[in-house]
Amino acid sequence: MKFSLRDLGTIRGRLWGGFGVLVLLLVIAGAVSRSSMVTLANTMSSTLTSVQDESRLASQLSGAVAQTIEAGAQYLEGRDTASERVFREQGWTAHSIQRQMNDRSGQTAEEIGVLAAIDTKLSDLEVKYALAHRLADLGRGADAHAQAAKARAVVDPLLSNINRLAQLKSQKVTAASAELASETKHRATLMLGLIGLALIIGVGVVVLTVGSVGRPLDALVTQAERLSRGDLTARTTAAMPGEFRILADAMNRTGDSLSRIVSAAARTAENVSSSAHQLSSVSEEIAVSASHMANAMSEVSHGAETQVLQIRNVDETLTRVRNTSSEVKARADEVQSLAAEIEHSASDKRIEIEHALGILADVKTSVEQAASEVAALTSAAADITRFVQAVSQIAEQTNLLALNAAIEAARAGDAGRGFAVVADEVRKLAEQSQKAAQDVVQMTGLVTMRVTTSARAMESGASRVVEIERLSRDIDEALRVITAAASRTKAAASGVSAAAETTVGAATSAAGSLDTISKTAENHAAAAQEVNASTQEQSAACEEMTSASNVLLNESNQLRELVGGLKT
Amino acid sequence: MATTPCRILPSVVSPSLVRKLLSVGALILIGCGGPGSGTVVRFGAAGPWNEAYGAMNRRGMELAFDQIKGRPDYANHPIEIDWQNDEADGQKAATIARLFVTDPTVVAVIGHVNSGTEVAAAKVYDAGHLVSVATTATSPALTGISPWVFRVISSDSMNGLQMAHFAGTQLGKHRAAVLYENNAYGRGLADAFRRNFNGTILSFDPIAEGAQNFEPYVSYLKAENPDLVFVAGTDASGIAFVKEFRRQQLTATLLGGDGWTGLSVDTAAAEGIYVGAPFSAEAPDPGVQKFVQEFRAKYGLTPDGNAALGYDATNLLYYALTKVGPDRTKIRDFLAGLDESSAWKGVTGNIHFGASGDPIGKSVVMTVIHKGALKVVEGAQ
Repeated sequence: MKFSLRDLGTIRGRLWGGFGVLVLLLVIAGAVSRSSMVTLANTMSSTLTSVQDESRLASQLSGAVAQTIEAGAQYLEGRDTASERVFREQGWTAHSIQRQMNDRSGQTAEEIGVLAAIDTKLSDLEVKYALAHRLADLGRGADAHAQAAKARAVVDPLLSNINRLAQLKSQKVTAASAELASETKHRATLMLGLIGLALIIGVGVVVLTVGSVGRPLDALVTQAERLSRGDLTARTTAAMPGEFRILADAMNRTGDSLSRIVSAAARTAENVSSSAHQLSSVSEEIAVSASHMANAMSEVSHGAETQVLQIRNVDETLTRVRNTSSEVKARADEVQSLAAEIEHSASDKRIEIEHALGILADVKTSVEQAASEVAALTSAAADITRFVQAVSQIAEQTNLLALNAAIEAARAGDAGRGFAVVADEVRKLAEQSQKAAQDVVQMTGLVTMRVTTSARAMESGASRVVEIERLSRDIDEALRVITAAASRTKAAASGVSAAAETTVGAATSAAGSLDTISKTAENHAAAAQEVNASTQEQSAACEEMTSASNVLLNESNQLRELVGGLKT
Repeated sequence: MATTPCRILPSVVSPSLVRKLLSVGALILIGCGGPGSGTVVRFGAAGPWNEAYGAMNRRGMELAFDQIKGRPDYANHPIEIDWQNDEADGQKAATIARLFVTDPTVVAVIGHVNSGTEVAAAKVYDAGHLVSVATTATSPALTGISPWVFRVISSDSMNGLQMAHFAGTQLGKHRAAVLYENNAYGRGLADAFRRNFNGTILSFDPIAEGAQNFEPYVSYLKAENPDLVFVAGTDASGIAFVKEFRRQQLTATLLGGDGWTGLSVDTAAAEGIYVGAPFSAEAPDPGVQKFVQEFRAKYGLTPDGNAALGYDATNLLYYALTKVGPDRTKIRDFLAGLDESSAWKGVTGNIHFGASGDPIGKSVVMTVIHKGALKVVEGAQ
């Protein structure tokens, strides 16, 4: 929480500031008192312990010394071993106590000095008494007594030293007590001062708070009373602390606001009055309209229900269409696959026919070549025939010549005989040549005849090949037509299938839409019924409004009268 | 180590100054740090220089110091000695101890010499964290008094025990009379003897320090007829006693503690007296003989236990200084860290310390005075 000097202008600030200082002082006072308590307790505790220890040792020392002195004197009288033992033991005890005291911390120089003196004097006393004892043991009574007197002379200074030690210890206690008391007093004064300061600040805070609350409160009460009496012109302008200034400003603004509101209220009341009047009549009109509307909506509701029924009929029809279309699609798909098969096999056949046509063309060429070769053969046969006829004439001539030679040989008698044999042989050869020529002619005739027959057969074959080729081309053409037809069929079937599918989709979609329409129509019907009900309610509300506007009219009239009575 | 401003105190302390210092004791503790670099390093030395045994202590220390200055490594570890006379007085000893503690150049203290002074000063050394090595202080009260206090002599409780055993077993004496100087030393040694003696203690009497009239006691002893008289005292009273003892012609054997080592100067009277000494110049050890010769060369005297222990304490501290440097804490830790294997060899034996600060394994040497010299008694232990 931030706190600045400016905050001291407010009561809250003054209270925070005042109580803050108050709490701080009380905390300090508490801390001081606690630390004082702790310090004092510790100091007291250690001081008391130390003092107790020292007192105990001092009293032990003085006791031991006293017993030593007593036993020392006693031995001289009784010479009993008990006194002797006590004398020695107590002396040793005193020395040991003296050493313990010497070893303690916090010894003053004087204390150490006194302790040293006690030790020295005690030693001296012991030595002197011991000597006196031995003199007494030796039966030298006078010497013993003289020596004892010397020992006794030490007793007083020794006791005075012991007293001095006790005194020093007591002074130490007193000093410690005084120091504790002074410390306590100092702390108490400090605490009282702090608490007193806190009290003064507390009273100051109370007085200031009461003063700064009372006066502004009176002014504000007066203003509030005036406002309550309807005097809206009441204002508070006097100076006052922060919170009251805020309150006064708020009340002043409230006065302003009330004045403005009252003026506005007066105007509004007038307006409200006339509006209420109008409202009343309008409400009645609305009530009538609402009644009409309710009837109309009732009809709408009925119509909507009828619509729903019709839509459901359409839906059934569509379902049937969809089923049929599905079947159509299935069939079309079958046709399509068949057409594809046909197209495929027709294409295959066409390829085979093309091949056959190629072979036919080869055959045709071969036939034509054979025909020309037959023709060549025929003419060759004719040449042969003519040549053979020439050979035959030659043989005939030869034969005649041979006959002539034979006749001539016969006339030449013997000289001619040999000749006659050659002439005969030539005639025989001529006859054989002529016969061979006749065979050749005969053979050539046969060959020519056969060649001619072959040529005719070939011509016939060539014409058949041409015919086969023509037929083949016709078949190819037919197959081409079939392929094209199959292709078209396939396309058509595909189209049918797609169309059927579209039809199914459309039918389904239409069914969905119809469903939606049907629901919408049902909703319409329901809505229409609701509207109908609402309209009826509205009609009732209008009637209520009419009566309310009548009440409003009355009230606004009263308000107008009331505002008229306020002072602005 | 930082050098801090410190009050410079005079090295000579007058009795009036002592009293003033006592009253402002707290003030002189203020504003002092450790020894600064470059400043001179010193050992404090304290004892009753005016007493015979104190003077012998100092002679031993001075001989050691002379020899130290002659060593080649002295330049590396230069040292001075601040001599202070405590007059065997506890209060003076405590004042001197404060002086040493507050002087940053003092790194260790040789002494004190007496049990009483060492007991009084021990508290100051304990609080001021300064090592003190007592020479001939034998009181059992010193055992474990402070981690900063050591001594090179064995405790009276040890010495008294040893002498009681010697009297019983070696000398075969069983009827003893005891005289003791009525101070810390006398009471401690006599008590140790009494508690360990195997026989009858016929009498147990205190005498004054430096007492001179022993006629009544000797007469008494003559009547009692002990076979042994044990005296726990110094030669200051011892010579007078022995003279009276001889005069009355007593036959009892005389046995004295280390305080009686100076008795040998009275050659005739002291003949045959047994002394439990911390040192014997007759010991055959070459180290001892070298020391004895050097001591005789310097002073024309035969060194006794006082001289030997002063000599050993000085050399031991210088040995520590050369090992760890001029640092109070390191010197203390070094001394405390010595053990049987690392023990320092002195003329009074090998020295290392127990946790109580007493030397371990050291004891008195049983001697008998013969023709003015302490002869070691063979077979005595």
